[in-house]
Amino acid sequence: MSKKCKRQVSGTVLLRGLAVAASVALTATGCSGSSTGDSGAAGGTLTVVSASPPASLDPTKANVGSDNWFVNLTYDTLLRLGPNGQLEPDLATTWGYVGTGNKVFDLTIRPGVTFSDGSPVTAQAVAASLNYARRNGLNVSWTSAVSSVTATGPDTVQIQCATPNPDLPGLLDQVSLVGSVISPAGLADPSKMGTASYGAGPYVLDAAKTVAGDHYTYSPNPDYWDKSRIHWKQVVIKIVSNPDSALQAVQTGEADALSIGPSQAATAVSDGLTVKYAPVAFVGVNLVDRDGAVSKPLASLKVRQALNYAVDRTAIAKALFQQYGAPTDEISIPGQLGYAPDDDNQYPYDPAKAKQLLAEAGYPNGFSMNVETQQGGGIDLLTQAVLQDWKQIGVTTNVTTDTTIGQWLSNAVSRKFPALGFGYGAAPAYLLSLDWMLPHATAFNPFATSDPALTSLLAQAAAAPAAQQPALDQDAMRYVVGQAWFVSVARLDGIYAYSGNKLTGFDVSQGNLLPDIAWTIAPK
Amino acid sequence: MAVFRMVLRRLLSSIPLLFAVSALTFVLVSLVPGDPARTIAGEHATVAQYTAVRLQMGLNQSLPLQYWHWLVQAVHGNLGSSLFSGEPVTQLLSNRLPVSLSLIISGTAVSGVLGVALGLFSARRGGFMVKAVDGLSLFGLGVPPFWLALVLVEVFAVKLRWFPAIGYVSPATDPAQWARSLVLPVVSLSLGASAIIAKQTRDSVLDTFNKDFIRVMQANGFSQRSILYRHVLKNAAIPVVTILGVVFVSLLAATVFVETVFAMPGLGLLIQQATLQHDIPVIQGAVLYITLLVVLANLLVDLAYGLLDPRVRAA
Repeated sequence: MSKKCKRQVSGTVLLRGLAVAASVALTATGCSGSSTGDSGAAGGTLTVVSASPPASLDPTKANVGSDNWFVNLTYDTLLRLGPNGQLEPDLATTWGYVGTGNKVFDLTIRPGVTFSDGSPVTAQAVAASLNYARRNGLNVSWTSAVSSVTATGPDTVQIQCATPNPDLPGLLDQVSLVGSVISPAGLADPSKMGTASYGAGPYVLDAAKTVAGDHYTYSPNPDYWDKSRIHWKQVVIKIVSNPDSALQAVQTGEADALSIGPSQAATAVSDGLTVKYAPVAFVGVNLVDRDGAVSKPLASLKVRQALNYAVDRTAIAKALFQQYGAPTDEISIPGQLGYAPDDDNQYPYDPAKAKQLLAEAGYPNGFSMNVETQQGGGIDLLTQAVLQDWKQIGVTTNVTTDTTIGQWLSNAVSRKFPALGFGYGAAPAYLLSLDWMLPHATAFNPFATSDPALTSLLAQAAAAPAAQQPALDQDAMRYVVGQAWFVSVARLDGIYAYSGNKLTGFDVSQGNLLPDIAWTIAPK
Repeated sequence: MAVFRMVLRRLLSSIPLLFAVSALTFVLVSLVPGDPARTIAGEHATVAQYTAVRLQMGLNQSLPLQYWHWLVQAVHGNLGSSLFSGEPVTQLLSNRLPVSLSLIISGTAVSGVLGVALGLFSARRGGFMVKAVDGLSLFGLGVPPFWLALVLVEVFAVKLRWFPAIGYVSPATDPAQWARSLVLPVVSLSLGASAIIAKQTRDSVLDTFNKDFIRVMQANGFSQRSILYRHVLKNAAIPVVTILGVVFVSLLAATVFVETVFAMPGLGLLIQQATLQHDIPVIQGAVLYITLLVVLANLLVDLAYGLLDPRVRAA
């Protein structure tokens, strides 16, 4: 077993449900190595609760965050984000950028591994899977810089980028799903991937014991390369959409773990469940019409800053999220590339200053505009709270509240709304830039606002050596907050409750927010 | 033969209904804001990707054309596949139907038995029982099944651990666990319905007791028991059967809430999930199944009328 650290990298978690798109990123050190195969002592049944069925069991179509448990059980990824936030080997044993500029990335594939259908995991298969994912995946923008993925030898793969992508290692772990390796049989008929598994993961989907939309049953993969990772004879993911019912199921022992909301945490603790949490997302109102196409006042920097000063973030965060939310002005969370502690309070609550800025911008009596928001995850409530604060400085709004993510996305990209209530998972600055800051139309930058100074800062950071990257990313974040492109209000914790008497390895930390159901959660 | 003709006539007359309901559902779903292609393509999708998904799903076609394509397939027994899981809709619905039927049939049966028993008891005893049944009716009508279900789970599942909090066990897997998994959902569904049936039963029985032919029988010395069970009940049953039909149909709607609380894989939960996702083929298929259930329930009510009243048979 060789061990060789190549460079500092960033991992990414994007947690996205109906309402909250959430992600986390972290800095870690990519190392090489391997785990020894051992006969795993499988426990009984692990039952976890999910609030919604997966968008798909196909790793390229599944929602990152809300669907990871469904996919990670059956698809091993090239790299593994460990409980402490370190990237570890999985199907790749070594990895790293070649040369400077973050454009070429090499991987060595673990020998002797097979997919659950019996076919070998070769460099060719890995390259084909990555190429499929970058062309057809839900998160195609993350890999938009990649120009080719090729097998350069029987067990080596090279990723080439047209423009610098400093986050490739983070994209290849079990959280981002892009690096979930799909067998040639799956790629031959992608329509089958929605109802069956074609991976090299520790478990396989037991279709006979699965009712789509209700529960998904997984049994151990007898050919898995590291049997010591298989801790359960059966894993069941039960769909319970009602949050109260979901918690009751864990209270009664019918299920073992679930994700909960802030209002449920006290109940969970009082019932003897173990609760773990860490910051996972940020919420606020995005001022997307920065050129004033449909709301002229928003073209003024002073107006956008006034809208920031007008919001009492501390009061809103406490009222809506109790101790599981913290006020913030930026779209990043601690531990991620781009997070700048000094940027958390760039706009302290100051309604008088907000009114003064409005007057200076030529709107002493305020103005009116349309706002779109989305139901759930506290986003609609938070938007309402922000709008109430704006009303105090004379800015009135007409709100449209969408009930589904599809509805929100349609409205967001329609360019009819100058401001959008949002929830978004934390991510490293590079991935954030793809959705939020670069001059192309996305749901978070629908008017494709262009700021050459920001674009230049981001380009510089993307191509920088690892050591320089954190400072450059912070510069970009400080700049965009200073330009008041959005009114970020609070960062939220992802909260999990589980049976501490039964489970061990249920880790939630700033380094890795998504408990690893496939590898680390084991019977106590 | 007359019954067979009646059944055939009712079934044939339901075809336009199915057609109308499916068309109306298609229009209503299309009017709801949102776009399944946008959901499937995701928030990071390029315009080209989004357009490709729309093309693949046939959403670029006009609404009448989309409906026509669905209708042609449906007539051939193909209800399409879920836009999200890719699973055939008929398979999805076949998996879900037994769960909902278990709930609805059990709920109707429990409501019927409990309601008729309470109604009879109240009609016979009068006094306090009348007030009790009225009070129960008000309570049953006023308490939403959703809330009642949450309270029942808290008490009987979380605190007492008598019944499971969530889930459904197939009778083929374990009949005892199947019955156990149905207790709390069925109680949630039945409380309001049984109260309505009790009230209806009491009123019908009292009304029948006041009819002339009953007075004649009483004057001729027939025993009260014989009058009640052989004559009054049969005459009073027709409005009760009507209410039972209504209960069956209303429980179809109530299952959406109860299946959500108890996380039971029935049609109600499927419709809720499909509606949130804009999964049109699944919504269309589910509505079709539910319309058929309503038609069948009404048919059974009509057949029951015939059994209870010879004049209906003759007509």
